[in-house]
Amino acid sequence: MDERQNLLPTTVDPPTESLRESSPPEVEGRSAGAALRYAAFGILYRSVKRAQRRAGRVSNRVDNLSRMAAAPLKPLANSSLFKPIREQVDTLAERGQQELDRLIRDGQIGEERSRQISQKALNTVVGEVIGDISSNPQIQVLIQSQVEIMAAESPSSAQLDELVRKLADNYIDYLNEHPEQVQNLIAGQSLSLTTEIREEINERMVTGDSLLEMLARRLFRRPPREELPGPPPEVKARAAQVRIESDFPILKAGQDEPG
Amino acid sequence: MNQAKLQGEYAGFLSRTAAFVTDVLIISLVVIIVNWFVPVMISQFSLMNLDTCATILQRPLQYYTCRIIQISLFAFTISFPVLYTIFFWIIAGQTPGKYLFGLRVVRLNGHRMTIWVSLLRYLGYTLCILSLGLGFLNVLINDRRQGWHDKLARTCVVYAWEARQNVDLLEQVRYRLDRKRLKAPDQISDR
Repeated sequence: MDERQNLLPTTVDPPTESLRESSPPEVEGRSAGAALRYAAFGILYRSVKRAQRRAGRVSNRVDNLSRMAAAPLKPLANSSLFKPIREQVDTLAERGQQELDRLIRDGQIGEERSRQISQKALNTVVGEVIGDISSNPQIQVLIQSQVEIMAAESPSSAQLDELVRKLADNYIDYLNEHPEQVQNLIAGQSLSLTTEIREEINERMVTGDSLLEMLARRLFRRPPREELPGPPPEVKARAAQVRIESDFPILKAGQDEPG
Repeated sequence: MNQAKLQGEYAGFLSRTAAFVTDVLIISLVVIIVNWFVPVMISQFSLMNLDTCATILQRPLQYYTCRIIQISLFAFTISFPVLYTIFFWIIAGQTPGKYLFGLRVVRLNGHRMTIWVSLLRYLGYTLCILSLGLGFLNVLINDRRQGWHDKLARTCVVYAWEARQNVDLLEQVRYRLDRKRLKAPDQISDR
């Protein structure tokens, strides 16, 4: 617990812009000490903002000035007379850059460390809270009462058994009264399986027909089957059905007669 | 698998042989059962043994009855295959064996099968069998896949179902055969 207390922030960030707009400070009704503290924070915050604004302005002016002065002073600055000074400035700039890099690296390491510490603290807190809840007798009582309420509302195991038995009996009675549906279903399945097997065998037979014929026709130097004409249409019509229209010329003549 | 439907196309040798064998099996089964069942039943009920008709010569009625039954059984054995085949050709254009393999006998002019055409075709069967199967083998090289029996009766056999075949396999075989044939002259010239 002490470790966690040490991890708590000792300083409070100033309120953000949005927070300030959404919730204006209410100094009325508070103690004079609190009002004084808030005022001090306000002054501090405003001073920081002003200082930042002024520093920005100064920086802009310096930039403009240096840009204006750079053009006329460029030949002078590049001359060998100023070379030692230039080198000194470069060395200083390099040292400053190194210092800045070191600060950035330290900041990154510090951020990572602080994240790890806060994660650890959070895990510890969550673990302790769960432990407290699980061992809290009041929570136990609450859960027990909820379970009892749910159990009272739902049907008992015996009731469920009875319900299932009743449903199963209904199904069995229905199947006994309508056995033809089940029989049709089973017969349909068997028939489709038989048809499938038969078609598979027939397909292999047809392939075998073509293979055998191909070999035989090559052996006897006959033209291949693909080059030969197929059966005439009347033969093809007969192949699909055993009785065709031409079998009933009298009926057909009767149908053609008007009236 | 690449497939093309062949309903109405001339049926090949393998399918027709399979259908023929199936019919022969069905006919044989029926003939064997009848030839076994009838004598057994007669011997059970009339105490007469059909195999030994000659031993009951002293009782003329029994003897003649025995002889008639023997002749009837013989006639059935001879006529059943003919009746079976012709009957199914006329009413459906296909015997049970041909039905199983999706084949149908069709006249070349597209008319219905008649008794006369069916009898001629059956006679053709006999000729094919007497020629030790040469007449059946004609199916392999004839342009209409006709056997001698088909030629005699002017019929052909076609696929009655929406027949499919493995075109990929056929193409592969054809390609290999063509390659072998093209290679042969090179080998001769190398030598």
